[in-house]
Amino acid sequence: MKALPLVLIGLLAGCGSTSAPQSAACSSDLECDDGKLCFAEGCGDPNKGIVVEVEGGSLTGQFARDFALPSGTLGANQNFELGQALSLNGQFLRAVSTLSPLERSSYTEAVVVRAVGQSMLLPGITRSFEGRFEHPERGFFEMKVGAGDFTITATPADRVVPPAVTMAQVGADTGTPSITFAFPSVDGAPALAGQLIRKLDTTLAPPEPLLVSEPFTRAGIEVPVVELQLFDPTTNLPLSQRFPIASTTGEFAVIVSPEARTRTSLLLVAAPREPGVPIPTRRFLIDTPLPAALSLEYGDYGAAATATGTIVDSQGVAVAGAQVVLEGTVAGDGTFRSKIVETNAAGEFSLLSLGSKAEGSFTLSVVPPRGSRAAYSQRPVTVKVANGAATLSPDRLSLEDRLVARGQVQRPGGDGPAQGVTVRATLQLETKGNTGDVRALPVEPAEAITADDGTFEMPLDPGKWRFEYFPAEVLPLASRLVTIKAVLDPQSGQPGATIDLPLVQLSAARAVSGLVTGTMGTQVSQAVPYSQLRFFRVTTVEGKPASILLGSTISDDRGRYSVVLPTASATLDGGSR
Amino acid sequence: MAGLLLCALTVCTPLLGCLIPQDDQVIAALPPKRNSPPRIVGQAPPTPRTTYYSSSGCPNKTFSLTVEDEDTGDTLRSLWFIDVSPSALPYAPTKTPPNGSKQRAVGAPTSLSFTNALSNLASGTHLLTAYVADSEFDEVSNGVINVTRPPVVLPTGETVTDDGYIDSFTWVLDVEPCP
Repeated sequence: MKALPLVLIGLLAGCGSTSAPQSAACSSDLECDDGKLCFAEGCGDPNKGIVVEVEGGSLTGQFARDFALPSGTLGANQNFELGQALSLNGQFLRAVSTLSPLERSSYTEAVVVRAVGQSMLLPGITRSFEGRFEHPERGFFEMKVGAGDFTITATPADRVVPPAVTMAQVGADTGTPSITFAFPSVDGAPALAGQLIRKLDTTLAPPEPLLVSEPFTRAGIEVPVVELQLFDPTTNLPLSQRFPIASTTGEFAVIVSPEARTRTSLLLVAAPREPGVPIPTRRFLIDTPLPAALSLEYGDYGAAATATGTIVDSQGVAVAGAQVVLEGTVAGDGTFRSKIVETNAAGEFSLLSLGSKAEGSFTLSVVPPRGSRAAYSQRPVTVKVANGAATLSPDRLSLEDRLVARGQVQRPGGDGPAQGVTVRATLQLETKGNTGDVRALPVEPAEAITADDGTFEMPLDPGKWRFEYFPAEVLPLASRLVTIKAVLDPQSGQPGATIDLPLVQLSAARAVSGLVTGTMGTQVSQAVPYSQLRFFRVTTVEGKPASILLGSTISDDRGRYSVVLPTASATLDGGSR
Repeated sequence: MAGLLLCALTVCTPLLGCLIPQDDQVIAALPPKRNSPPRIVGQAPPTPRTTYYSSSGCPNKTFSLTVEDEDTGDTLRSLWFIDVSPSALPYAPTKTPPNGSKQRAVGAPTSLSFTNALSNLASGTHLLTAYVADSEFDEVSNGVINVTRPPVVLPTGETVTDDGYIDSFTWVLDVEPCP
């Protein structure tokens, strides 16, 4: 039984390929011991490490809950009882005065609460929730959330009240945490005042400040162009809200949290309010105690103008629909990031830019559209602005080719090719050279559908990709991690243009079904309609905890669900090992 | 005598009923099953009004719909618009192939043109609208969206046009700078 597929793998591997992927320890269940299957991280027991995320649909207020199933306990029938919806409860308070900081009154003005965190059982699964409370009665609030380990920020709509931050875990075991957000009193929140200008024009007598921007109005109302916010430089948590600088004077007054006094230094960030506005972002490190007044300069970052360029592939053909962004350091050491623009049919783009600080201090990032043979590129470029015109050099970028990954998918047990399988490849590690920085632009997932003979191909950038295989028939999805990189052909000495992926054989299926129930108001064990269930395998991939998706489904209007998961023994649909 | 009368009432009367002449018209074969509409039954984020943070550097919301379609073999297609208007063009349609289930998750486009358009939004109020259909989108013109209506052959040999259905959902986005 094992012989034929192994021969096929061998044939594929030697089929004219000049590049080779580095993949996980297995490519097929046939390579695994009895009772184990091939997963993204290698061979493993399909009954171990299963954690199920259940989300109770938008109508019920039941957000994501995680259920860790003990090894070997997931049978053909598995019900999930969500119980009461999880929530954050608490009260907004405000100190009455600095003289008696423990004397507090309820804060009943509008507050936005934002919880950002991740699952405690599913590594890599992030969750965020947000609620706005217009007039919380006696300051009390309740916000429905999912399970997780959260950083929770309460930001009053009145920006002179500094935000309050706390941490909390929410889950079936931890219960509903009660949180008190204590905002400082009016006299307890110090103000950081000063002036932020572009530079002092010393050619004038007396010298006069050059302002950061001209006043900008929308519908007759002045819109702030640049805003300031104070952060803890160690944790990056905010110690103030965003405050505008006056466009006519450059003056500002930032009301900061009293906690700022306990830090040795503070980070003041000046940034344009809208993306793409041609004003740099500037970070100022400020020592404590806070000075009575600050005088800050952006530095003369120059004027903005429209820069144009052209993107072509290795054959000189225009790359249409590519996403382009320009970013880097400007004069005065601020950082600038342009709007993201798209190339037209002739491969041309134009974007509003400032001048770069020095030769090559800007980076032009280009992401060709899915399916294009041109590869992602980041190149150092220079922008010079003079007389109202911007010059980008180089202004014509030729992109290298993507590698064409070719693969084949077989039905369980090698029972012929699996056709109509949707293959989705998602880039895992987005690194920039050896710096480990995140790419300036994400790379969109690549997709292909297998042909009648089970084969597919897709152009991909070099990198680590997670391949997911969604069968068209009732079979479990499969996933693999593959590192794709060009390898020199030993004969020609040139990098290969194609990569043959290891053969993927879908696993046999077993059906799991059940009922999702929860408490709705005073009604216990009520069916939860349209719940979303995701079955994960929690494991370790390359030394790091990871959650591998095994299957997903949505319950019907009566809370009943059914899903197929991979199995090493039982069969549902024509597959056996 | 009374027994005979009782017999006549209880046994014979139903028998007499069977003698009523029946209509001999043959019932026609059932017509082919017509298309069932897809229905949006849930969405994420769950509230129609939600805060969205501009700038790609901010962790943000992902948008998806839960769609129910009795026809489990239908491929669901979705069209997404930002600030829909008669002149607005949709982003590349997404396809959700059949998976054997009546309930399916329909996600927003993963194309960079869509995600970058969201991250480029200026502060203020914007609309994100999704249309879901169970057949091919045929035409998007002046804000009118039509879908292909595949022909169905009736037992009589007559061909009629089956219905293709569209459902839609709109989020109101309060776009703010990344906090």
